[in-house]
Amino acid sequence: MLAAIAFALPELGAAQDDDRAELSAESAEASAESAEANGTHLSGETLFLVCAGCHSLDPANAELVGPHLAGIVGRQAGAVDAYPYSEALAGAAFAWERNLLFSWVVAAESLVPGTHMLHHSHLEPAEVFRLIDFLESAARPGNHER
Amino acid sequence: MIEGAVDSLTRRRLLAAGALAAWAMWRGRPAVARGARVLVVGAGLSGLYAARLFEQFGFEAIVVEARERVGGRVLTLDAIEGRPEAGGNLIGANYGRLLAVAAQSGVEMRSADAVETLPTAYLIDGEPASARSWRDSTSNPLPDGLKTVTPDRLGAFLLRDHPVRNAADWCNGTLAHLDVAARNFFLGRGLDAVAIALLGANNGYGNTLAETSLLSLYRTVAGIERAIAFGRPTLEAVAGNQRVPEAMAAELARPVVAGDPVIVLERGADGVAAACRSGRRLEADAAIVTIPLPALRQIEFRPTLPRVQREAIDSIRYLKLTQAHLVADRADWTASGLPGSLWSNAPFGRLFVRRPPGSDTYNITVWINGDSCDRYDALPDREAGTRILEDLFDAYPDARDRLRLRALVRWHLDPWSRGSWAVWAPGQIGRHFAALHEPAGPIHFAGEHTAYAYSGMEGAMESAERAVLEVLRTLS
Repeated sequence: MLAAIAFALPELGAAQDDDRAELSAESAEASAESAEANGTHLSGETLFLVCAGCHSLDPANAELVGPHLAGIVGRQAGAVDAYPYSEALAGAAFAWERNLLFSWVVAAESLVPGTHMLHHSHLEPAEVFRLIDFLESAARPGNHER
Repeated sequence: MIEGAVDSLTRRRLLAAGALAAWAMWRGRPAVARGARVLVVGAGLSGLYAARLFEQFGFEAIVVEARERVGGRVLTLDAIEGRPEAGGNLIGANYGRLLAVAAQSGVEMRSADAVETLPTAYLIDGEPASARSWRDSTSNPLPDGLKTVTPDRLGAFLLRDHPVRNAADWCNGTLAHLDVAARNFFLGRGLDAVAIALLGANNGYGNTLAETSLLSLYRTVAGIERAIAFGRPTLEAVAGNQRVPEAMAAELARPVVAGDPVIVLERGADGVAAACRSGRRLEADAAIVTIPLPALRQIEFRPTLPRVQREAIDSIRYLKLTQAHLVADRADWTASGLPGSLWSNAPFGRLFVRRPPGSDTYNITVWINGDSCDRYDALPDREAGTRILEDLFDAYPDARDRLRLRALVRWHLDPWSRGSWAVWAPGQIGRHFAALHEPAGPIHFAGEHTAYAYSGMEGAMESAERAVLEVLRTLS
């Protein structure tokens, strides 16, 4: 998984020497198992709290500052029609695979310097994965209308 | 005021019906702790947003506020024509949470450019200058190579190559070596003591540049740069920015308990209990304290907070800020001799002059930062306002009797804020930032002084989100 991130970074135009971008997704997956012990047991849907201020799961909702996240997992980066992305994201040539989403949630500006998304994550690694699980499940037809 | 906000809720809800329907897509699934109760201390943006989020998760939120009004340091002077803002005045287009709440609540926004703001001229050591003539002004103390940079842009110009790569780098330890006196940085850029005094004349991030952390200035410049890069105009609420916190308060299930400061916060194994000045006692499973540090210092914690946290809470200063809000009609303004908005090193600091759309009156905000406020502080409001006007008339005699003083706001004399926002002295970010919002058992801390990625109004909202997450982890 690390290799995938390292491979993707040059295409993103990101600084390869930025340690914070090269987050250990593998160890994070492992730590998911100890989530209960850490008290980080919140559901992915609850954790969507940290996205919901700026992002909707409804493709028809254009009133929030960020682009909608319907079907974000696997989606081409910078691809929501008519959304005014930063140059950095508009020109990105990658898809939002899970490991990249992980790096994005944890340190967006390290992954894509020049992005407009200002976010400091307070989530534990296991929580980030649970959030990504939720984003993936919410993309299934009808699931986002909860 | 709070009752009034409730009265207008129905109409606003109807207006916002579309927005609310969209929000319903995700409203924070109840995190199993239905019935849990959270006490929120402070009805500013941070406290109100925290309460809003808690209600979305099925919690009961009790908001208690010392002032008689909600909004904290967001304050629209509704009694003055043009409704000038005395507090949080400009809403960045990238203030996602704040704008989402405004949209959901039907608070109409407009570009700040919709209101004409007169261009800035300069008055330095009594000598007037325009942006164009500043280079050759005899009062220009800047070294060759900087002479064309106007005083209001000088700080941002010298700090433009900032090292803030991630918005929160300023507080995450990676730039700790820059948590030093800003004055020394500017000395190293060729500014002498006179030039530094000029640069510091209207410093909004410390009372002097020697007392200002360079890192806090980098944070500010980086934040402004990111807001500009976003490429959309700065916003303001058409009817005043205070409508945003008012709408949030009106939409809460439980009305805000206003005018009743918390004086004791006691924590135990079962939760938290607050005693208010009126004798009211409030109990909850957890609390979020969102108030500014000078107000927080007035609360007795039982048991006392850890020493490191106490020291952090006691050490951080807030910026002194005096505003005189003036009004002139068109003819009077034209004859006043004032050149427009003004940046000066005179006692009255800066003037921001705006003319609302379709209005024949000009709103003039005299904005005095830091130690310059001292000159007026011993005087009661009316005399202080008169003295500020006299200082202004000394420089612009034709303005006499043409400007009407409508309000004087002195945030540093307000017991519930004691300043406009937290300022960071050298070393304080590294020493104190993390401790400021370390949870103390069931008590959590939020407010703009605890924000990572944003500052100001959106920082307040961001901090609420973080504190709510902390509480959800413990109560779910």
